[in-house]
Amino acid sequence: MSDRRLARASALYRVLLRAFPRAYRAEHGEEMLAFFRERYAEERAHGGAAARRYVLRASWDVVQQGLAERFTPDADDASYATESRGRGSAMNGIGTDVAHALRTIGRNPGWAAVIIATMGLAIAASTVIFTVFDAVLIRPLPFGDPDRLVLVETYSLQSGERMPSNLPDIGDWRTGTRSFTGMAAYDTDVLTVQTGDQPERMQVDAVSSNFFGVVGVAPALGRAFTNEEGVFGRHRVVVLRYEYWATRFGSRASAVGSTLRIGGVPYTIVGVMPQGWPGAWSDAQVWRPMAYAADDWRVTDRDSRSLDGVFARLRPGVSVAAADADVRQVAARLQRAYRESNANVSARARALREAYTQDSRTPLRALFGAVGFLLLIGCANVANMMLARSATREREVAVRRALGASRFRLARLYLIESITLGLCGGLVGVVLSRWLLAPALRLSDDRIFGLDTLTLDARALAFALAVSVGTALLFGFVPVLHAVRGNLQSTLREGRSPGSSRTTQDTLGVLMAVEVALAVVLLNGAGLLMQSLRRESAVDLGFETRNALALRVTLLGAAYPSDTARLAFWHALDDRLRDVPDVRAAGITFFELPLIGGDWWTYFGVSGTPTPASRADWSGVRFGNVSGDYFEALGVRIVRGRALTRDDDRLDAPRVAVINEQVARKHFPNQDPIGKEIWLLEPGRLVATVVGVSADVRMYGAAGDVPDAVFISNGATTNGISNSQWIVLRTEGDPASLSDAVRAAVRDLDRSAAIDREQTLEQIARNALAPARFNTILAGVFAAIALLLAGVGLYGVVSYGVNRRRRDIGIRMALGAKVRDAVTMVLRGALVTVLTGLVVGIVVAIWVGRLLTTLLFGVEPADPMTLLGVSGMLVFVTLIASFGPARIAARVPPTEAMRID
Amino acid sequence: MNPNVHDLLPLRPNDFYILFTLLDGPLHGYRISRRIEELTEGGVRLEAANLQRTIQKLIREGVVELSEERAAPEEDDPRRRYYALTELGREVVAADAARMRALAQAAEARKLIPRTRGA
Repeated sequence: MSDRRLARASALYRVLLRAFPRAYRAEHGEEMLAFFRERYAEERAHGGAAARRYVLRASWDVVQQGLAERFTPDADDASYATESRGRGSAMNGIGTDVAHALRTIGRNPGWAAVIIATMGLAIAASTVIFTVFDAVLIRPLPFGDPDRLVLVETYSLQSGERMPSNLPDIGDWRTGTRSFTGMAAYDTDVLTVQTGDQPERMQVDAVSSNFFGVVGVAPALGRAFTNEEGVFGRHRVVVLRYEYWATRFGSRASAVGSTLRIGGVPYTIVGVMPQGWPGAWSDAQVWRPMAYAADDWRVTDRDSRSLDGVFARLRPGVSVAAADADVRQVAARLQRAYRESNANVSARARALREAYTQDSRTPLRALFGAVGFLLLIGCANVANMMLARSATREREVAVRRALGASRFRLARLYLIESITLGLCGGLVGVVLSRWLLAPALRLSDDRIFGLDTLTLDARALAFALAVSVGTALLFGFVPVLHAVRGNLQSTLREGRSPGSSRTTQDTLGVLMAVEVALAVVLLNGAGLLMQSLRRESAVDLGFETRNALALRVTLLGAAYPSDTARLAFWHALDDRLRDVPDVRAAGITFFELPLIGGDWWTYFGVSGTPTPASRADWSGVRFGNVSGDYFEALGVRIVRGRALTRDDDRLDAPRVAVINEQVARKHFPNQDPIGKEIWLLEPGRLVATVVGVSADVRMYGAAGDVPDAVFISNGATTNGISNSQWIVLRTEGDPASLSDAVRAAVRDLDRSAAIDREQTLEQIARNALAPARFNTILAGVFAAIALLLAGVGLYGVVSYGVNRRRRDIGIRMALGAKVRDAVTMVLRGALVTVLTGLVVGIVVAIWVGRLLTTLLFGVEPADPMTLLGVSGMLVFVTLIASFGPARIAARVPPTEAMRID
Repeated sequence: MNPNVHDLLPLRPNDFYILFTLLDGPLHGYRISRRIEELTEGGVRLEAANLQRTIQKLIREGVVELSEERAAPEEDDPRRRYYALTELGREVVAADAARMRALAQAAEARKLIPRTRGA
């Protein structure tokens, strides 16, 4: 016998015993516990299920009796196994009413369970989603006075899309505008950090030295950067994220003032941010001042744009619109002054919150809408169940009043019953919310800022509780109130069967149709998203996702001071990797990893063809630097000519290039590109001969465009050989099995090289679909719940209808109608309601689908297959739900017609 | 008959069952509950708290009392309490049984239920 289980059950029982008053507990508690343990042991012998059932029963018993003992200690009716005879002395105190409410629930467990579960689900769903929604859209951002902060951004005049910025532009914005008290740049970066001996790649962002002042957040320990530290040479200081300081430095205050190494160079720690501060742009662990040498390209080059963002604080009294206009006029000036670099771009200022939540708006709104629907469906179900019961209550109310209960007492009784039910539902909802929040966060798209530090929102909970109790009150209490206030005689009159109110039946029917309509919308949405996901997953991305492993290797700069040294390392690594058993092909690339690699764009042209006068009209291509058997490793086909080889990959080798099919189509229509000469960066600057054409690769995923791409060898680049490259390995079998061997190969060559971001190409492809998958799963869950609730509601409504029309059915049977006719009557009624809801629902679903087009891929909102499927499902559920009541209707004996009630 | 007996009739079903099972001697709570289950063939299950409160009420009414007699030490649990019928209790349960028999005889006479042979 499992003592642990007994101990746990006993512990639970002990807790529940607290329902009893202290004195009673002291006197009899142990005895009751002994009873429980004895019985539990017996039940346990019959299996785990029996034991669990017993625990439930015993729990209910102890709570109910405990409350009764608290509020009505002298009541004679301690037992609930018999009908309550309602002896007058027991009727005093709200406690009695609560005890009575619990008894009613106990007598109708199925009915109550459905109501409580429905409410609980609806509350949990709405609370969780509201919490997420609120965190992203409503809750204040983690900055000082965040409504006075704006994002100043460069954008393309062609597409309107935001682009990175550069330091020269920012300098001009600073001097040319009058709307801001401060402007600070932000640049994300991933660097190698060493605190001990193991190098680690992590997010180390660079910020202007005045950044923390501008955004209004100060370090909890130490200080932020000084203006001096924004000067190159004096910039070797950092501020740490709290959590990083806690784990890496054991929360020691002495960490401030100590050093860590970034790229091998020592930096002094000067500050630690407050606990829980989520950062401003990324999950950076470390921040350093943005400082470059005077001749650094980031300072001089107006052409290139790589800076992520610029924060600015509005001067008091200046509106966002005014600041926006201010920035635009400076941008206009720059457009005229620097045609080559600024002709096609402009700049604008946007409220920070708006800029942050850009991407998540539609999906969140969809989610919010879906939850609203679910809540409505839940309320409709609760309403159904309570209305149906209240109708049969009329007789009970009349009898109680005839026996002398005051109207006030009766009203209070039913009021408390409704509230109790509502609160039970609320309790279930709260518990469920807690439980659902963690998985919801894990599933969510981590681009949604600030999502990692969420706790359940108290306001959401309060809102949901209000809704649940409100619904219970409205539909449970109000109808009964009518009976309580009403004319006693009319209710007690003979011949009137309980619950025969026509309006109740109609209301139920309308509610049901509304439920069905809402369910249709949710089901359709889920169906569309599912189709969408399926289509997106099926798109051929142009490279082979199976059997390939990727990881990033970063060298410490100091050990490889020249391009020659670095290239030699990559070649040595390539050789080693080829020798690893099971490796069929190994490729090395700076950026060109589909879906997650970075972007590296440059200008492009064909030698000998005329170049447009304005740089703004030059063609642009994605510029890939590769080594090794890149194409074979990625599984990209070479459709003409050959791939790049090691021979091409030398600093002094003749420059050759591979272009993709799209570039070939665009720039070499009707010609063979092999052998032709092309240039990159500028006419004549980086000239290469085309030796091959590769298949198009969807670098941005199924939904994105195929970019024009040109590949040259690492050795041929003029930008310098990077010390951080992606390695891609293709194998026959499981790619994960290569991991150890590859890491060993790298370490053999250089112990201090950092390895990170290891994943298979299959994982990369899967992760790219993660947001879509999340949306689909969520929608599916909602739709399933909606369907379930609709089914349950239908069952209730149809049952109620059958009950109400017992006499009607009896008469028909007496007059010779067959069983089949009774069943048909029931089914017809149900189907009419459902079909009405279906039609309305489809119309609304199509309209809602239009709003969701940004989330859909390759699917129309009015997709007929989906609509058909949804309709079919609902009809099916209707038939199932009506089956039970129809059977009951079939068994109604003709003598029902004769009954005088 | 003790005049107090009449005040307590008719007994509620649960009260009757409890008194009935105590006829053969003192029992502790759980045993009482089990005996009632057997007696009613599973029809009536009194759980711990329910039983406890009912017994307390019966003690207040004077038909049940705490008993000193316990089971053998090796089977016993010190937390258990044993209950026994009082004299009054014995009278009451007998009176209620008689009442029910009279009712049953009346029902038989009206042919509501079949007459039991050899009753």
